[in-house]
Amino acid sequence: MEGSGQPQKNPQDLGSMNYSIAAGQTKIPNFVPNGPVSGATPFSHWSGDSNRMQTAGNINGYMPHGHVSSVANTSVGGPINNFRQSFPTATSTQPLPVNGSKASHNYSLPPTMGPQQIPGNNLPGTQSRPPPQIPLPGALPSLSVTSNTSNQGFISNFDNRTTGRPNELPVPFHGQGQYSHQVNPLMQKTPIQTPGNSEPSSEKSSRGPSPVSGSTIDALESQFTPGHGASSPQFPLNRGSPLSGSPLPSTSPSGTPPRVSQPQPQPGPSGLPPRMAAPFQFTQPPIPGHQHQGHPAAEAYTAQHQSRFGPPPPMLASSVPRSSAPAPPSEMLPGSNHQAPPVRGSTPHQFYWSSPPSSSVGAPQPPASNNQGFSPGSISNTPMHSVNSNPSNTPVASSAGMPPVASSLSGFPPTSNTSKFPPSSNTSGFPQLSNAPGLPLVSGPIPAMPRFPPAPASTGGGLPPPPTSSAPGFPPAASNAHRYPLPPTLAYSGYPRPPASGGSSPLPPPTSSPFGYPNPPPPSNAGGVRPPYGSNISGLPPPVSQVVGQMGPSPPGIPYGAMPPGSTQTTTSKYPTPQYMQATTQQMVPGAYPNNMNNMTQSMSQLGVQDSHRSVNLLNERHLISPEGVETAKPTLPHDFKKVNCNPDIFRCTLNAIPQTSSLLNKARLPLGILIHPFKDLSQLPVIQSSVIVRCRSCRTYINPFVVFVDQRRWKCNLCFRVNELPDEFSFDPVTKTYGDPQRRPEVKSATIEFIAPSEYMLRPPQPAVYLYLLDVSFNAVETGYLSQFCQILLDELDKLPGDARTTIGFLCYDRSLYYFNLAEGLSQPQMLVVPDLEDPFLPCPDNLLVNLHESKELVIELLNQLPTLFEGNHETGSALGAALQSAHKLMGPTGGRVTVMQTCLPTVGPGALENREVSGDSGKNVAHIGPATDFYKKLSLDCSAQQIAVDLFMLNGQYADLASLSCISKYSAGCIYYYPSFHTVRNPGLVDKFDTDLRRYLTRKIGFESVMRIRCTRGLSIHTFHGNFFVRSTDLLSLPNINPDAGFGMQMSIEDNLQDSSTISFQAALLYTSSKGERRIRVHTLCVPVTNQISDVFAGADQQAIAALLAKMAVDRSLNSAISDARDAMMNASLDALGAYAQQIPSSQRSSNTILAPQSLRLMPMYMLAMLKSVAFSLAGSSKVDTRVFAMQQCKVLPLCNLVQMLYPHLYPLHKLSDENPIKRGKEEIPSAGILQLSSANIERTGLFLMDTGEAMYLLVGSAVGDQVCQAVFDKPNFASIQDGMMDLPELENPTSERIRSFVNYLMDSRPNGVIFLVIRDDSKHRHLFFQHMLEDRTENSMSYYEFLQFLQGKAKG
Amino acid sequence: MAFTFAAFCYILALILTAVLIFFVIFHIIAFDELKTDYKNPIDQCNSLNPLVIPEYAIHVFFTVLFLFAGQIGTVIFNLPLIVYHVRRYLNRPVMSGMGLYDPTTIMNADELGRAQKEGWVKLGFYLISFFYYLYSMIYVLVSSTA
Repeated sequence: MEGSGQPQKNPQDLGSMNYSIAAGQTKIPNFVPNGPVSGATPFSHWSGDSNRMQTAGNINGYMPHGHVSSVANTSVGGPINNFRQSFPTATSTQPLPVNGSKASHNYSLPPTMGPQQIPGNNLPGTQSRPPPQIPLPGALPSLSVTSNTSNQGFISNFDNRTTGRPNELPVPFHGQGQYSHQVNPLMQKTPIQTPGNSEPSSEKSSRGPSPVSGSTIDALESQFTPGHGASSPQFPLNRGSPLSGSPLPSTSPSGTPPRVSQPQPQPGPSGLPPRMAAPFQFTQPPIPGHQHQGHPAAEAYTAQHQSRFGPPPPMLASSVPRSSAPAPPSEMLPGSNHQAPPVRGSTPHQFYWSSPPSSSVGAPQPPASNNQGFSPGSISNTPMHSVNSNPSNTPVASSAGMPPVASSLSGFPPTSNTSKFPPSSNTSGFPQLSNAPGLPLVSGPIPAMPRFPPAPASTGGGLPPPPTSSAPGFPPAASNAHRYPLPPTLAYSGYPRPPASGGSSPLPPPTSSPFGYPNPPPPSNAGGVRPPYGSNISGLPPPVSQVVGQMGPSPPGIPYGAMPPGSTQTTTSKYPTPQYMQATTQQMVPGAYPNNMNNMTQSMSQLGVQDSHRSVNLLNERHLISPEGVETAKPTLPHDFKKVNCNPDIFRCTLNAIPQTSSLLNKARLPLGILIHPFKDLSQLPVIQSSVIVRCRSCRTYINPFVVFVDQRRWKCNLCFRVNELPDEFSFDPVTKTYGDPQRRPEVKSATIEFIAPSEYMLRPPQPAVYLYLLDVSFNAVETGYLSQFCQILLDELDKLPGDARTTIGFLCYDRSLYYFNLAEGLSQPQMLVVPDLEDPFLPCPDNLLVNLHESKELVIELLNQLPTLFEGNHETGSALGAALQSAHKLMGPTGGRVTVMQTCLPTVGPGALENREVSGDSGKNVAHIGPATDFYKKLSLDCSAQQIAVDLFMLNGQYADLASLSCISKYSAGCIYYYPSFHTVRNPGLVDKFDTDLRRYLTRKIGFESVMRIRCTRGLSIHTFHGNFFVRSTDLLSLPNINPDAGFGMQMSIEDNLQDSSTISFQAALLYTSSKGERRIRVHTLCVPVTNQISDVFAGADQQAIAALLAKMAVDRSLNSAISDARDAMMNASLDALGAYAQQIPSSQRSSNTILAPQSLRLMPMYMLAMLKSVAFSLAGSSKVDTRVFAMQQCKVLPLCNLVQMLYPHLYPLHKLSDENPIKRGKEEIPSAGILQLSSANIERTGLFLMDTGEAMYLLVGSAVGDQVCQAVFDKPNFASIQDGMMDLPELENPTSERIRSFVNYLMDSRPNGVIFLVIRDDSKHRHLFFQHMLEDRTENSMSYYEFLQFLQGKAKG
Repeated sequence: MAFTFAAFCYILALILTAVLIFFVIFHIIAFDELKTDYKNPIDQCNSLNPLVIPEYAIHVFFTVLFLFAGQIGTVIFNLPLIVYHVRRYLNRPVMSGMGLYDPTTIMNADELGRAQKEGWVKLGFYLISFFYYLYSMIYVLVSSTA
């Protein structure tokens, strides 16, 4: 009270600040009548700390303290609502009790405190507070939504609470009052008129949120208990205590909770919430049926954590049998708190589950779990077992009982709750499938895999030897002439074929030609087809002269002049639709998946096995990529698996025939690994809400299409080969209501499936969506102008942020100081709180920095309107990113969530300050500069990961910002990184569009919280190394605080044992996450790959794209660990070794000294290696900046496979050859398409328009001899000379040419998750290099052409 | 039988080697636990890292004592390990604290394998040293009598 009366302090004056706080603290005990014990509780663990820390504990400790008492009361028998109430409010650092003594202490609270906790007061976010300008340290606002309480009710209740305990009232105010002092005078500036927000730049293409991110089910929200803070197993960090953070109680004299270990040295005023202080004994729920409900989770939790934390506290050990199960329930660890002491985790669950039957609040009733005394080993079996064996315990009353009921992915209407949770699950407890029209659960439409008969091993060797005439140099045109004109049916890659054979078959399988030169029959194709090779041969010409020629301004006649002006007619019209293209690029298009699967399987089968064993002489074969793009390799499964394998865009293995032994793998010299894109947006995904999730009892594999059913009642796990019982429910078909063949189940029909997880998969109630935005507002940041753009975009998308009624949002700006924003509901305007203390950042007020989006929406909107002007003219250049991140960690610790950082410069002040390490001209060749300079960000990132916080970085820096160090914050917290070099709203408009698109997508895309991913594989294989952004928590478990749909992962595998047990092996990735709607879900992908003992099969099954992607990831590691030059050598050796190994195994009769033989499946490997050598990440020639290189490396690690391959080897389309013949179908629209060209200047004609699509950027090259009509039609300019260079959009013109080109370009843009830079480049432009640097097959001053590279490889191979 | 400085060194080294053997056994167990999923890598690294420097220091300490005692043979016997330790420590990942093990890379199969192998090799080395010191101690004691 005194504090609040004091005059405003200079915010910089920390001393006085501390003093005033301290003064407040000393007062508190006087106001607190509730007994020494409880009074002491919140403070005691601060007591050893500094004055300021005491204050901190005090201020926020006080209020929660009341809540602790409420917990106690309610758990004794009070209404459940009180629990709820107490969860969200419990946001300070009161540690959970670790033993009985603490618990009893809690329960010794004076009884008078109980009644004041009115059952209904559980909408914390809605509190009104007496003095409007002073926020009460309220609950975490967004957390609780309980069905039976209205806001009004809550408000009155809240008042009740505050007024009903007058003695308590002052204290929270007290704290607040003091803090209101610290507010910088600047804060008074906040009430600023809404600034004119700059219009956001128009979207290039409309891109909605992901198709699946779908529907809200508000009715279900009541099921989610609010209790984040309280029930979560998130606790003070005890990173400090190295050995365990052992939960053994320390007997503190004050009878306070034994502090397991102090989290941060300085928890700050609102540190962490007081945890539910309830012991096991008190949590006995009222009904007997519930009695043990807490146990599965609790025990699982202990099982999980005991092993980490050493011995459990004695009390725990007695109440929950310690599990010694070697395999903890695998996906059980959403809380993933490494530091969590066991007991705490269990406590919340007791509360969470122990809802009395009277409560209509709908506390999630877990399927009653049976045995209290779980035998140690049984834990891992709990999920399915406990449900089964004791179904009758499930109270009938729990209509809203089960946890999250399907807000099924793409608009599945949830069936009624009651039907989902039948009282007796044994008989009618069939899995309830969410059926919705149009979204069949059973993924019927997914076509069966093409069944390739296992190709005879001998075919590889049976090929006709390559003609020796193709020897050293390049086939002169003359010889081409006689060799190339193959009959159309022989053309493999679909190069211009005569119209006659055009649309008939998509991809005629090559019947014989070993070098399937897909050539046009020359004589008759004058108008429509390219001239024969001789004329535009420059890609692979006698090396030196021709290649040099390409670099120059296109000598007439060689590359460009080859095509007569009139020949602009499309050659692509001769081919069928690029089937593969559809499959690979349409990923984002709803509905694409099933169709394309069909197409793909057709094409695949037509490609045929004949191909796979074919050899290609790379020195002769120049057209390696068909216009349809590179085919997607798929495993050829044996006949009896008439099942669908996982979509190759989601899950791929580098070898589609796994060698049986590691020696065979070594012989093949190919990397073995898997690439996975687990959270990819899917247009169709079977979602299962089932009371029982069938898993293998020993390895916990989810049942999948590749298991073997021994009989109707048993199935054999395909990973560990254990024979498991099949639960009765599993053979029940919910559609026909009959028992029967288990094979009808969607789990057995689809390799990608999503389960809605029951309570066993939760360690705490699912967290709400929590978003915190960290905005750089230093001089540099304001100068770029990003702030207004960001605010505008966020304003636009505010309603589309994924989340439910609990969605929480917060903002934190920083330059040299930290600017917090109090957005408490009821304030008239946002309140800015300035904390200039960086070394010891603390939260200026305990609550309301993160607020419920819906309740404080006006304030959020107002803040976003004010922000750009608020910091206008800020001349502070320092950037305290480290301190801001620490604060964010503190702020989000109790819940977890997503932190979005906008950073524009090198962080220079406070903790985590960095120095400029960039040496001009170095471009990151020095390894030290592409690795982190400090482990500050890494450590912080691990702390964040433990608290389920992910940090996403948007780097908008023009100058060096040490991305190598900063990226660590995202790398280990499973965040994502965006990089916009030299972002400036005015000076760099190209990036603005990209930023706009990216940010909109980022804000609205699907998100999964507190997730873990486990990769299982068949016995004999093991995971060697992981690639991507995550923290590896155990040998097969990745901790992913957030998962986003654009994140890809890679894993190198090693073969430990012979794989002769089975003819196939499987990989299963199970991603357990909390959806933004608060549901716990498990997405399971299973990939099945055949095993072989023939090396020829290994080569035939190699997936060159996956291999390239995996090698890129490995090369990044190599670069960081040793040197980029080592990584480059490794790449060259990789292709050298693989091709050498291939050559070894084919009969020597086919080998000759002047060939480089590659299997058809690896024909692009040298090309990809060359592309990698020339890429920004690994090139030693360029002068790229260190940050650019680091970002490129980072992209190599995280991009999903197809995006990565496109980044390495961009797509080149001849836009002047758009064809309607095989249009891309998108909805009802038909988009003309163009075939992909190889990246050789030989393919560039002066008369054409060429689009280079690198994934991140699109460059439209306008040939210098382009016709005037085209200029007029496309660019609205009379001729080439008047086309403006550097246009960033195509004018929207009403003519067919323009419309076709625009629809194709827009289609390409829409089919990717990120934004692109679009740039029109004239052939004579000074930006020409932007386009031509991607011509990877060309020679440059300091890099080899593709042909030279091949010769180089050949030379090396010879020794 | 005279109690020379060399004998003292050997006795001390004997005791310290026993300590080192415990260290290295702990190390082996720790990595085994990591490999079998029992432990969280963060915790495990936090418990392993503080032991690295003490282990190295103890080893260097008695090697220096041997140097003073003139037991050149024993010094040469220990020298390779010292060199290895120094190199290992110089090439450690970027860390602010002491220690070698980084929780983010420790789960890499190569790293795990290397650490485990290192543990076993060191255990062998320390065991051999132990008996070597025992023998030498007796030898020194006996020979100094003569």
